[in-house]
Amino acid sequence: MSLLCGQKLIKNYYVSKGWWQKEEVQAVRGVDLDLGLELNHLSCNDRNNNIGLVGESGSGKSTLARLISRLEKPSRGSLHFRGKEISNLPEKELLFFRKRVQIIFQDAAASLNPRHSVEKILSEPVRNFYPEFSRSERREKIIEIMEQVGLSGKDYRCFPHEFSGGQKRRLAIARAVIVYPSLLICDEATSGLDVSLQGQLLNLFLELGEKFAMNYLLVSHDLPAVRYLCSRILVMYAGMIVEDFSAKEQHSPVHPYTRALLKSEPSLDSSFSPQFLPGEPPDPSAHPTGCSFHPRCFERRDICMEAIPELKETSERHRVACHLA
Amino acid sequence: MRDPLFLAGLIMILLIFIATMAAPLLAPHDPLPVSLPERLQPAGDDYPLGTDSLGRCLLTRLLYGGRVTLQYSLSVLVIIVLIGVPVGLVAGYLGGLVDGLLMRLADIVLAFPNLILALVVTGILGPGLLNVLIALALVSWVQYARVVRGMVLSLKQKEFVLAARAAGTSPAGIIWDHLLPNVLPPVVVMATLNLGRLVLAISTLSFLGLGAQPPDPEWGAMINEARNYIVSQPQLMLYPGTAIAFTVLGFNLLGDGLRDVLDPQEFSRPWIHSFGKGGQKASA
Repeated sequence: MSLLCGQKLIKNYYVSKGWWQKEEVQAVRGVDLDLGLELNHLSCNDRNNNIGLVGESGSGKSTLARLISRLEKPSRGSLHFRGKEISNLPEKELLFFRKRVQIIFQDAAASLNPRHSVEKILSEPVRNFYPEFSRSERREKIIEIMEQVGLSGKDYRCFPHEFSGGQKRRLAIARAVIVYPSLLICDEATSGLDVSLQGQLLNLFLELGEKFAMNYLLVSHDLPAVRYLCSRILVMYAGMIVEDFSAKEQHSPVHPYTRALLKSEPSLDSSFSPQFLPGEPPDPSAHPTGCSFHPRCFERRDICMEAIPELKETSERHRVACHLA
Repeated sequence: MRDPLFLAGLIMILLIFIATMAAPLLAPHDPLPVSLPERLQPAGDDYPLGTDSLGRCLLTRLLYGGRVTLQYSLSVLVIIVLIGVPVGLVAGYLGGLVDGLLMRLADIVLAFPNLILALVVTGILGPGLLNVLIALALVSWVQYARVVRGMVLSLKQKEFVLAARAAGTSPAGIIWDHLLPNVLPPVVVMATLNLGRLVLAISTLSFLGLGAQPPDPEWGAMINEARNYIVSQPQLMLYPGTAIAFTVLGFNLLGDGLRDVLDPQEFSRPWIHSFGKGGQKASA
């Protein structure tokens, strides 16, 4: 049974314009995705099941991450966790799901309550998911997990502001993995860090993934990081998944947007000059007709302006939403 | 702590508190018994501030009157904070129908000027300090509910609240552990500033005869009793009036100072804006 599976997920926000008008902003517009099987401790994770979700800023990837972690309710569509519909469950019935699916955010500092000590921060999930633990068992667990993410276990009395930026990220990771989730959603978790710190974190992800039999959904605009960690890449554009392909065949993506995205990636090779995609992503309150990428596409045909292309399987483990594929 | 105005406010309020709480020790006389032969005495050895129209020691009545005013202001404050803050937390965090109902109720209360509404409520309940307390509490909790709800609306989108939800914390736990500690500092500032206004409101209602009833001393009531002697014996009115002004000023200075201490980003002094920020918040 698939761990997490969403059908036709839609998320609209409403922005008020003036007194009576409301403008609909479509952040996620009908996403079908299946995050695949759950690992068990016997099958070792060799980055075979990690998924990357890439796209420009404003493409709806963070919203999608919040939808599938059920921090936001989808406006329409369904979300199944191990075959059970969870898109409309109230918070208190979601505990079984939250224990298996955790999320960490880009701004680790903002995700740690500044008034709580490390012990309090890390004991929050333990208290909720393992209410039978005694105080000393909790502390033992906290010290153990801190050491596993590369922090000193002695620091459990400290407050977040006493840690460096990289340590705060480790702290946020510790809070998420302390309950041994099956899936860890990382919303831009490596963005905005210097390269060596990024590398350290990616390696920590790999190490923890193996140790805890945990998969990642890495939401990022950082292609090298995604390629390093993930075997499958989802490309999002204007609230829709436009391509879903295996990272091993990453030189053969089909969708014009994916190709443009890969070409715009800078390289240390001085003979290589990145090609940038002209234009801007569409206004989320007024998506273009037909394929939302057509205004920027070099290969558009007449049909692209009229019909929205479906995400269809073109070959094994490869789905594309393009009329030309 | 280097703010001289904050220090001044603190000292003023401490003085008032000590003086009024120690009234039975400090006061030279009994505040209640009438002694007509000694009416309207000027200040002297026996009566440091003189006597009122019924021959009672003015200083004694001032000290005992301050007790009443402060006790009731503090009680109203405690009640409205205990109602307003939870209402704001719940309405803001849960949203939806709960929020809609509570905020429409708040709109209704806010549609009337505070003091007028308190007057009407006291008028219905009948005069007396307890009724004034109820009336003021009924009309004043709304501002706390509003302000706290606004803060919660922005706080609940913050990542540490999302992270707490992901960590399985229940709505009640999030409100208690994550939201309440973050709304309290501004509420403390607001409450301090509000105390000054409550002192004024209680004195006003007593002045109008709705609060403290004779012969009980209360600053507003004392001003009312002194009305007939405003020309011949202006000090009867000046002393309680000064006491009210002194207390209100003290609370306001204290509140302003607390705001600067608890929220260093929000400068409230206009002359600070003229540097650095280029007057961008000049109208605020």
